[in-house]
Amino acid sequence: MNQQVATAMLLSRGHLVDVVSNGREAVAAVQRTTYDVVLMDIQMPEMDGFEATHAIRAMAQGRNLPIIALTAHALSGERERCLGHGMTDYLAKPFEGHELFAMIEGRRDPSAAPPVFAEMPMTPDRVDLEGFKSALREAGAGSAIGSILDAFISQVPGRLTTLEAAADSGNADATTRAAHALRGAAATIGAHQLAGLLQHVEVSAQEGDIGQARGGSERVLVEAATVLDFVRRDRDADVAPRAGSV
Amino acid sequence: MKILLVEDDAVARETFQAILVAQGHEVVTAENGRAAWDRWLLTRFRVIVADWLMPDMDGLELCRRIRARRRNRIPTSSW
Repeated sequence: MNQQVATAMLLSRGHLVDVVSNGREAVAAVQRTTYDVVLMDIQMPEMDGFEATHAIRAMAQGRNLPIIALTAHALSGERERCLGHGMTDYLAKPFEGHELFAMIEGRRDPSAAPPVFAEMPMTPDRVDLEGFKSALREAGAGSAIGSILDAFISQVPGRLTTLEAAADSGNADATTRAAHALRGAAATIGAHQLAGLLQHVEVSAQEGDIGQARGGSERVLVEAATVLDFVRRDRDADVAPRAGSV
Repeated sequence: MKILLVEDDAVARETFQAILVAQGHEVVTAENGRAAWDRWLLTRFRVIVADWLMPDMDGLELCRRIRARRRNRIPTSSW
């Protein structure tokens, strides 16, 4: 199973996936981003999987991070070798989708949200509208919150239509631009999940993988609908008490 | 400080603008590189904050044009 197939399967299952091509990039990615699990090839150029695992284990955020080795052979002693290097478990290639899912989903924190986004609770990890608001208030720009959120509500539907059309037509360049345009708005108001999905679409399209970009766009539409609903309700709740007090 | 803010996304633009204005800066906005270039030709700015990927002249092209002019050394920042 190659990297693209594994990525597509994980995405279709509802997971978010960042792909890097060597150990050094893996260490940098773990430094930047919080992951639930790392799937690590052993034989890689620049820095191999063992070396990368050592580096990740040396970081505070990597001490307890599940790192699953993807090994090219199911030799006896291979598992022990991986565990000896600080990896959590191992999966011998080739593996089936269900084996991969069983391996990584068993690693999920039971209190963490299930992978189906539509059923996920509205946690600050997903949309941190309060964080956005308090950042603006701290900067002394709290009075602009309402108009910024209104701009978000009014522009997102049009941007989604543009993205969908670009992805459906298979135009990688237009898809990249449409995803990028929407990502800025999503990230600004703290819609992290949506921004993450858009980043995947943007990167996939940029790399010419229009199939993955199209699949990602479908998930963007679902998440964006939820976010829009959330922001609208927040605006209604914000406006209502003031209207009542007049 | 007089700042030229170049961003095609209204949500991001309004947010940056609100923050910069609240900090006491004078902010002129542009929705793309071309509009920014037009404003730059007319006015002197201390700082230009520009998005990178924009329709109708991106941040890179805007930066190239401004640097090519060498009218002054304006610090530019992009995201």
